[in-house]
Amino acid sequence: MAIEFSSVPVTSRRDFLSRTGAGFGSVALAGLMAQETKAAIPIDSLKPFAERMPHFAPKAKQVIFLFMYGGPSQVDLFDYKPELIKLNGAKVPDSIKKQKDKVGGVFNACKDELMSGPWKWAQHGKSGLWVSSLLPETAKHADDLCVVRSMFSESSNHAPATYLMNTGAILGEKPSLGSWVTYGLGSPNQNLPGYVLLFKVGGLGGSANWSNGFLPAAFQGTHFRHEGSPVLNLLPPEELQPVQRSTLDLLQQLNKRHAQARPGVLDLDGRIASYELAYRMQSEAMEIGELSNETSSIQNLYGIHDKNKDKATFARMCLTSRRLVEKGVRFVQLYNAVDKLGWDGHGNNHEFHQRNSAQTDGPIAALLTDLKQRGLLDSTLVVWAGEFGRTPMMQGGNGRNHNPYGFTIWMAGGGVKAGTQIGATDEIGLRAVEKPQPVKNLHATILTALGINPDDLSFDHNGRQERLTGVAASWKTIPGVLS
Amino acid sequence: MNLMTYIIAGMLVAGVTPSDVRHFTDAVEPVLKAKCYSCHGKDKKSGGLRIDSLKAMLKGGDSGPAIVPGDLKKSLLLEAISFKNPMNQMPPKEKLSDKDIAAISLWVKQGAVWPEEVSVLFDEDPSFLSKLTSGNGKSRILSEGAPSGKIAMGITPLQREGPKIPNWSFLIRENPNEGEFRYLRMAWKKKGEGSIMVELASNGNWPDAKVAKGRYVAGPNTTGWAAVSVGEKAPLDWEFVTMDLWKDMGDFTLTGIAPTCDRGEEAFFDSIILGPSVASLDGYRVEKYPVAVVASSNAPRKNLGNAFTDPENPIRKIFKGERLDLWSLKAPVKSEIPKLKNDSPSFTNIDRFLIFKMEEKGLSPSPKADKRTLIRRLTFALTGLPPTPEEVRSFLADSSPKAYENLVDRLLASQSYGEKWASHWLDIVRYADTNGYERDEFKPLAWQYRNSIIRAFNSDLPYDQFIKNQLAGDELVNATPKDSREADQLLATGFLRLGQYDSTASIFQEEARSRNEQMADLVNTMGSAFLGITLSCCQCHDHKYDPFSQDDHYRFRAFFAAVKPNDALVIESSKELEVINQHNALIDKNAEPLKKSIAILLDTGRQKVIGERKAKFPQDIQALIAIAESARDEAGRKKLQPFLEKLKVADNDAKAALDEAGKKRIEELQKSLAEIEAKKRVARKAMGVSEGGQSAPATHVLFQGDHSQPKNEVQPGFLSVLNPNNVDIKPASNSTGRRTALANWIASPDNPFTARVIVNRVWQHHFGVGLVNTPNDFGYSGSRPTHPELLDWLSVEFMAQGWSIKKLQKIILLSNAYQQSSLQEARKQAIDPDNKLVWRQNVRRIDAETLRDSLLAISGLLNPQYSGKPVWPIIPDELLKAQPGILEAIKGEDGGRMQGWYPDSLEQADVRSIYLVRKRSLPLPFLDVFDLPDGTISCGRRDQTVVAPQALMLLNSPESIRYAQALANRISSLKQSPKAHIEAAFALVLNRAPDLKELDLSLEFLNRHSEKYQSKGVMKDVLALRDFCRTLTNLNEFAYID
Repeated sequence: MAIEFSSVPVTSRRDFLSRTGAGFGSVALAGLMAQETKAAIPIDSLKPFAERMPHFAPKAKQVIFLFMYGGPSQVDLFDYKPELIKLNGAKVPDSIKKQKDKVGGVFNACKDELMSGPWKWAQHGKSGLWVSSLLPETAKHADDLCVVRSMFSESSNHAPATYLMNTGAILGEKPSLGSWVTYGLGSPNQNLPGYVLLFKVGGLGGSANWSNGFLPAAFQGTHFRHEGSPVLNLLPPEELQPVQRSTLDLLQQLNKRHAQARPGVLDLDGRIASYELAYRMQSEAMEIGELSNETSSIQNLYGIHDKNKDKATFARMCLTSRRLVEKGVRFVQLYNAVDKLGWDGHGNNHEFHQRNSAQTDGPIAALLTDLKQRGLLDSTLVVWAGEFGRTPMMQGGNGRNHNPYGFTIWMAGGGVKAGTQIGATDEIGLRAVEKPQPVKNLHATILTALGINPDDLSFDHNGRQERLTGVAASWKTIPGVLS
Repeated sequence: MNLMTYIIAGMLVAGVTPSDVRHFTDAVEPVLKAKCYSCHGKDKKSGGLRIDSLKAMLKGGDSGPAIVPGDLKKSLLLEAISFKNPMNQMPPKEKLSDKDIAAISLWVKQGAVWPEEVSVLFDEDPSFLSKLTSGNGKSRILSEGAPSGKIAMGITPLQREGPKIPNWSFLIRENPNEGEFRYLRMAWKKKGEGSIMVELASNGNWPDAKVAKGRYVAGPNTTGWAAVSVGEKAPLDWEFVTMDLWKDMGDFTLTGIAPTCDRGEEAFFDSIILGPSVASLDGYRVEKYPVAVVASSNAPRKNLGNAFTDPENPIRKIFKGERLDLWSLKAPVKSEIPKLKNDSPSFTNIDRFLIFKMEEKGLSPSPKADKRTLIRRLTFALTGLPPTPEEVRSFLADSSPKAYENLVDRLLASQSYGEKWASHWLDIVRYADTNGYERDEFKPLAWQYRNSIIRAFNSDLPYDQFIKNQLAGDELVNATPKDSREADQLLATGFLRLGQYDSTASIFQEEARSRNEQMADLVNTMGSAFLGITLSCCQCHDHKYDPFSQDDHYRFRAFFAAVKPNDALVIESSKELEVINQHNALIDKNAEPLKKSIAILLDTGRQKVIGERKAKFPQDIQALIAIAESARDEAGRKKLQPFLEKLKVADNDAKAALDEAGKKRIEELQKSLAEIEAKKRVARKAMGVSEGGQSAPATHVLFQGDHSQPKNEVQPGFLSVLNPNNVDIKPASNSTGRRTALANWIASPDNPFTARVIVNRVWQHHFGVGLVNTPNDFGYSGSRPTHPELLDWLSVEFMAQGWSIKKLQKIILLSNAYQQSSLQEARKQAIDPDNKLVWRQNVRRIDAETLRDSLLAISGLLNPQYSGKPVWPIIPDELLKAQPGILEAIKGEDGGRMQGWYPDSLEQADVRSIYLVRKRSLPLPFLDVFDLPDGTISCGRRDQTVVAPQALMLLNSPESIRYAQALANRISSLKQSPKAHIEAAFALVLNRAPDLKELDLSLEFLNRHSEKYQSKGVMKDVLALRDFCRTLTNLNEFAYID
């Protein structure tokens, strides 16, 4: 590398603060200086992803969040309901119909007719986990999974429910889970963003799903592509690539002269460093995208050449996520959708679930296998979840409507009690009745696995001490998930 | 239960006594329901039998009728429940109790009276008050002493009303069929003298004032409205009255109700029900129609003082007298100018306040910055653009003592000033052009709000008036605007429409939740923007730090309760509207002969078609058509109807029936007509709000902010700590006047927050840091002012100078403090590392829009004139398709909702960034990466991050490279030698000449790159120059202002 860098050693936080000037280094700093009474986390604006100590020994160090977009149907995948099969075609039992729900109308737009799926159910592994025939590959990992069958959401509408799953609030204005985690812990690799998203079609409601909200902008999710150059503008156009280094060299020479004439303005040094980081990112991120460096057996395990193009796409994302985790990226989130609909089978649930299962089952199972064989599963928390589930009632021809009252998620890997099943929905699979879990409990569980006390991960904003999990002590980790 | 009388205004339908009915509802129906309906009801009918209605019982099942009224022996039901016949025993599992069997036997014996279903208009549902959407009275829910159930309602004179209540369409008939009604019963009483009255609306209309029918009154009627009297005195205690509506009013559709009283104190109403018969009313049991249990009383408040003086003030009670020393609660007073040890005539008053504090710490201000730094600092701050080399040259050459002041004046008067300062305001009001959420539809009219803000800054609209326009512009303009100033007042109410809006909420019956969020967001934004207070805390509970109660949040919310969105506010002045109408009338007149000719031609064709079609009708139909309409009998008419429908000939069919010449002629005529009509002018419309009436739905405090858990009702009110009383509000001509009252309170010199908050914002944008470092939070968890006396002095001065922002800026910009150097000095830095005492200026990065606009400006690409609707830059297809809402639009599946991205050409998008579209779900990548706020919540201070993706964007993105290329082209067209190129580039990008070392480095760079491009022939130099420009535009010196 032709240029050496003036690094700014930071001996202590106080020292750093004292040299930052009037707080235009970063809003985190300015915010901290105004509100030093609160135990917010000090962020070095020059190294926002510098690793920070967790509150206690973590069970997992990294996260891969598999977002199943559109609302996968619990009663067709993991939530085996013999009663529903028996009542196929019958009306909804009165005892269930007459219950009042807080969120909008679950019976709206549904027929008063129960519908069981056409798939076979079987128990798998030593744990005897029920999995439908839609997910034969995932089923082989039955003893790796901890399945929570009693989640509930607070909106039956995609965007608010997706925001809730990603940010803990149904309004799209709060920081996302990945932002909170990287704000709290930084990330092991300083040459890559700490919070990476992989998607062909991102969550409903757009960028608010990976927004940093009021946290410093460095903690916003970065979208990695699954083909070609992994980050937009990672490289200049081809004709400029040969002159990239010499251009940077002049830039940095002039920048240093400029900074030398303005001693003490740390932002100027920070910006010099950011150009060098960008340069290093170019090679490191490019390397991430080189899936051809993987052995052909790994490529085939994931199915990146599968003739089902949607499966191949998702397989590339799954494989890329493993490579990112291997490189030390803290938080990776994948969306499986290839269109606006994902699992959202209103009119034709059968076809949607056939399609999405075929797309995701193999690659996800491969990811679990691969993480395990590399010894990464012990330190990586894998989360599988959508924004809500689907109704056991029929909608349209053979569709199912949104169901925020009871749905299934699973976790695997670091800190998770493998081969367990937690909670239950009612006899038809509509409402969570045994150990019902709000989304904030899932967030609390993820944070706790990472060694973070959810109440201590806070940020003072507009007169409020903001947390992912809301009011202090208003959450519980999902009982039985963490080992 | 109190006194109970039955007064029948119409004729009493006799035959069934109330006690017969009561016997059924109290003793029979509950037994049937509990023991029989599950097998013989709507879900299941064993043996073909249902017994959940009299009709079903009489019809019976496979074995015949279940009962024969009056005849116990012939009633199979009684046989079954008595267990006398082993083949017929019901319920099969367990015999009914003797008491129940006796009750059912008595009921059959007495004739099996089964009252029909009633419809409950009001009994246990507190939300009924919100259906009474207008009227001057106040309404409340009483939770004690109700004659039916747990709650009743109170109405103060004059009335609360709802002429068209949603879902109300009750048919009143003489012999009601199922779902139709005839009788109304309710309980009422009146406090004090005067009368009590109820009015009923028919088809959305109140009765004529002179006609009695439709109104019922008890007591002396002094209202001037005729009414049917149902009592000489208004009852002082609860009394049930029953009205035969059909008798009094005939057939009609009941759509609304107005509980009323004419004088004195409150009137009370309860248990308002409609029934098809009197028996059905007698059979009504409140338990059958349970609704939410609510309500604490909302006793009228006494007139109380502020929390500082009145121990009864609720804030004093809630916070036990604490939290009252918050600095921002005391209105600013004009501070005395401090006396300095070493004063100088060159100091301004701002300097004196600042130096006074510096002296205490042994600090002194920095020397004045050089002129090149000053013109750069000032031009960026006031216009968001860099100065041109010519502007720098002429300023440097101007040695007059007024050179700097003249520069300030010139920049404050420039068009780009408003474009820069409006963007600060748009951050505060979380402006965007789209709705957000799943669909994120484009709001095609929002941009006019944005432009009205630009105009407001450029015309230096006094800030107090600015506030009034934002909150209540529609209430300040009488009907159509007189002029463009009034049009801008209407446009300003776009402020109330800028929040996120989830248009899909209704699909899942989540409107109530969605509306609650919108209202909370509006209150929070209002608090942040104008008052610098954090009201989001008290949506769920009393404020955690500041002396604000949960009620306060909802008292503020009540000011907005009647606001309705309006996307068709006419913003043409009445004069212009007249011009438009005249213009259009003239066109209509010119079009008239054409239309007539077309009609004549069409009629020819139409007659032809009719003739043909008629000929094909059956004989009897043709005969029917031939006779006069009045001569046809009912059956004939009915039979004929479908055929007459067939004789309605569409224009296209009529046209098709013409011969070729006729068709050609009509096409010519239609073309001419279209050409003429295309010249019509359409009056411009705006996005804003209106109320369309003088009443507002009730506002309730919500338990933990949850829309499904309303608590006590509140009236509009300000912060209780300052004034806990309800606000006395004068309604405007077509609105409640509530927002005007709010705006007047905010835009008042007595309001302790308003002037300070805006003064602090202006200061912040000139120094990088506010006197209060938390511009949106003047509460305990925000920062204290570093210079409270200066902030107050400036605030008072600001108000004294007519709330003029430009005058305030001039005071700040002419201070030595603003003009001082930003260089750090080790000694001073050690004393005050954060520069809290403002002993130097602060180095700052230019913001996202300024960066992009500057790149466009220096490269000569900028179109500085554009100021219209949002421009959509081209962004990568991949990003568009990754956003589900846009993807839906790309596939043409968004149903015309404008969820998509509608790119203009590359060059069209070379406008100032404020004119680019702001789409919530897909922020423009270039601006986003440089910390553009996301448009979801008020942003008083932007992030200033320094991250690698910014470097990638500025180095590698196609737009950055395009700017560098354009800059290189511009320079090479002007100058010849490499040295001249370098100097021109420095002048444009950095507003200065390169020093010798820089010149050396640059020349060497150009040489080296030129060599690298040998193969490109004549292009090699301009390519090298492009690389050089690419370097300069990435420099810290370009992105940071000293």
